[in-house]
Amino acid sequence: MRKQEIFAVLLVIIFPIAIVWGAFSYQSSLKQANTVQLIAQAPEKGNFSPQTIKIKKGKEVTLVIRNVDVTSHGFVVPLLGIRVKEIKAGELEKVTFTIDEEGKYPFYCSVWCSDYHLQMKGTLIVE
Amino acid sequence: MKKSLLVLTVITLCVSFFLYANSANSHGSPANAEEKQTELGSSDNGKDVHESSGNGKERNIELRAKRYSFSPSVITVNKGDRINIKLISMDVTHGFFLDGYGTEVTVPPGDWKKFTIEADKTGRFTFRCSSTCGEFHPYMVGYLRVLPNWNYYSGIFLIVILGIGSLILTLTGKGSPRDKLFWVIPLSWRFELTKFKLVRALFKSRWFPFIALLINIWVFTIILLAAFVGGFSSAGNYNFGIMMVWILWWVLLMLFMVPFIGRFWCMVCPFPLFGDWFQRGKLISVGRQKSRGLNKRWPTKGRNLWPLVILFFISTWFSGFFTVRPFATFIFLSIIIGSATIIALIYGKRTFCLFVCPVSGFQGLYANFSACEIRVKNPDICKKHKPKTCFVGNEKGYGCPWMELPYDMNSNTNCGMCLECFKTCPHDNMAFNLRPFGTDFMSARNPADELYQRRGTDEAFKALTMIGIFLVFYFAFQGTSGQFKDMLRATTLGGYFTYIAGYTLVNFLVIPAVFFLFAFLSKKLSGDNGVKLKEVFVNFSYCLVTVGVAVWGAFSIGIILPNGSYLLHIFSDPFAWGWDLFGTADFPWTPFLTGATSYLQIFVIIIGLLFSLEYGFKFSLQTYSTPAEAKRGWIPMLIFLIGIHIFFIWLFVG
Repeated sequence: MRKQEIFAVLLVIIFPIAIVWGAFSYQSSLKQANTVQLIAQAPEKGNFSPQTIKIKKGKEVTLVIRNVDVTSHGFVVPLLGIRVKEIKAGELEKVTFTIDEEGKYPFYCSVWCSDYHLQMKGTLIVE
Repeated sequence: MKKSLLVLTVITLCVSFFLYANSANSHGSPANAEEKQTELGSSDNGKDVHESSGNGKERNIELRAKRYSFSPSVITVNKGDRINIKLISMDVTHGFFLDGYGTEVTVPPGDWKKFTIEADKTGRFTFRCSSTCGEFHPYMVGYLRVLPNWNYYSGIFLIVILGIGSLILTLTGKGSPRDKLFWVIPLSWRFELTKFKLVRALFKSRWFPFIALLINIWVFTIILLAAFVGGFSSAGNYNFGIMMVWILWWVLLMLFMVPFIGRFWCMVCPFPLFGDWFQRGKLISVGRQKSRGLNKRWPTKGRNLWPLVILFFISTWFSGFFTVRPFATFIFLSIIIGSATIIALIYGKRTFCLFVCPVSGFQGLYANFSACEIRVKNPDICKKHKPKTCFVGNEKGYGCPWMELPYDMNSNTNCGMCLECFKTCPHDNMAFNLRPFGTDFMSARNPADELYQRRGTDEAFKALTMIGIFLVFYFAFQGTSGQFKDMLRATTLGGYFTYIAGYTLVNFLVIPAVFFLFAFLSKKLSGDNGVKLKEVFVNFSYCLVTVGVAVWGAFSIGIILPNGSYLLHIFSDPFAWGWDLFGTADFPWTPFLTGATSYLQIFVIIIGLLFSLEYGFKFSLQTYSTPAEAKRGWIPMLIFLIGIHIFFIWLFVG
């Protein structure tokens, strides 16, 4: 019984810790694999965040765009011809690309989302 | 047997009327008898193109969508009409999804969309916002009523017929006998699940239900973490914490656990674990029998359901926050876990579960209805057995943590199904039984019984407030009023306090007063002067338990069918970090079986009515001294029950 008790205590302690640790390490392993998180909100609520994304040239990047807003948003990089479909409120969209030329490329929201829609933009810097 | 035949005939008649009415509804209105003939052959595909374009009127409707309501919120048309809707968004992106029809449209802010619906199905259909528009988004709804509303009419017809039928049978003395449920099932029928060796071995193992607790600790760690990192996100419908607790857990509890297995949740609930651990000094093996800590006794005045009635009621004041905001859910769960642990330090055993936990009260009361019980197999063995190890504990297990006397238990109210008595009983004299629904209502057979004495206004008010709380939840989460939703989520402080004041008044004054009036009429009409009015009030209030189980079930159907698909999303992406664990993160919001919702809801409410009529007269026999008085005293209560059931049918499908 004593062994079982120790086993049970370990399970009760280890389970929650393992879950929290697992969640955060899985999240950071995703980040290392060249995934960039971009949060989309209307300009008056926080705009694209971050507004400047830096990536390395010639390396594959996955951009995860998360719409935490209550209207649809979009994402286009006109100079690179990157466009994702309308991202509905609460949903997320992924786009994977590789860019070989250095430079600064502005990106925009492509869905009319608020009175300040035209200010919803950011810069993609390729180094 | 003649009586049961009679009842069967009545039920068959009702069902056939119901089916006829609904077949009429899919073939066309009675006015088009000729067309109906020609359409019959092709009715299987369910479409009726000729008629809708031929006879219907054009209806133009300007539908404004504004957080969190539509205006007009209720649209009434006739079958065959063409509804031209111009959907305008007044603020953020909104959508329009029509239950049963499946039409879906979204409209960006400040824009409009035009679309047409051919009203070829009759009934009441909910249209809901289909684009996440904010915290109350899943509850932004309106109703489209396509007349003639056959579901509604047949629902009312069924209720009236069943009511009158039951009254006639009762008054002529042909009602279901006192010891039978619906004439045929003996109330004493039991099926012992623990007679299977495997089940008994499982129940006697100290690892059960501990293993279920472990799984729940795992799940609730994810829930708490998700609710915490989800913070104040306005998209609560994509939060694991919100969805698991308020969509999955609540619905499982109300639709499945409470009606069928009673306090099953208490068996697997992980919250008291830390308190137990502290009190016992051991987690799974048997440690101290006397609780460590201050081990005080809960005050005698509060040793009833009143604290639970009040605490659950107060916690529902905040339903507009914690059902939609992840962080509010985090706080709510933290308070529950924290207070469970702190109370375990001060008071002995499971004082928290018995007298504090907000969701314990209705589970205990409604468990009287459930189809499972833990009882003694052979009382004679217990009489000879000393000491009562099930109460004081032994080396195999703890004395009843719920402070019940397992050897003398005849009600599910305070049995938390923790299974300790299976472990402590050296004679294997405890049994886990399947039983007919609601037999606990009858376990107090005479007023001399201890359980009968214990019945007080606390349980009556628990039953009454559960109806009032249901009404407010219905208006908040399935009702059309945006104004009410604004009050509930406290857009203005004045509105919020008005809501709380009105809500409290309705729950503790208006509803009890109406019920009291009928109890008063019942006593007057019965002519029994020996019975106390309080006794009438309390005894009949148990009818509201079956009513409550049914309406909460119907409510849960209206929550899980439209919103269940969110679960697929949150399983794959529990923290809204963009994960896709099982490949279902992109699964769109898809309402499920919405065409069947109203049928299921009517079905559940009718079942509830049958049980309340069945048990109601038995309560009347318990209350009044002679059968003649019981019959007369039953009439006002029957009218009350018919009345509220018609009201519920109107609420859900009318």
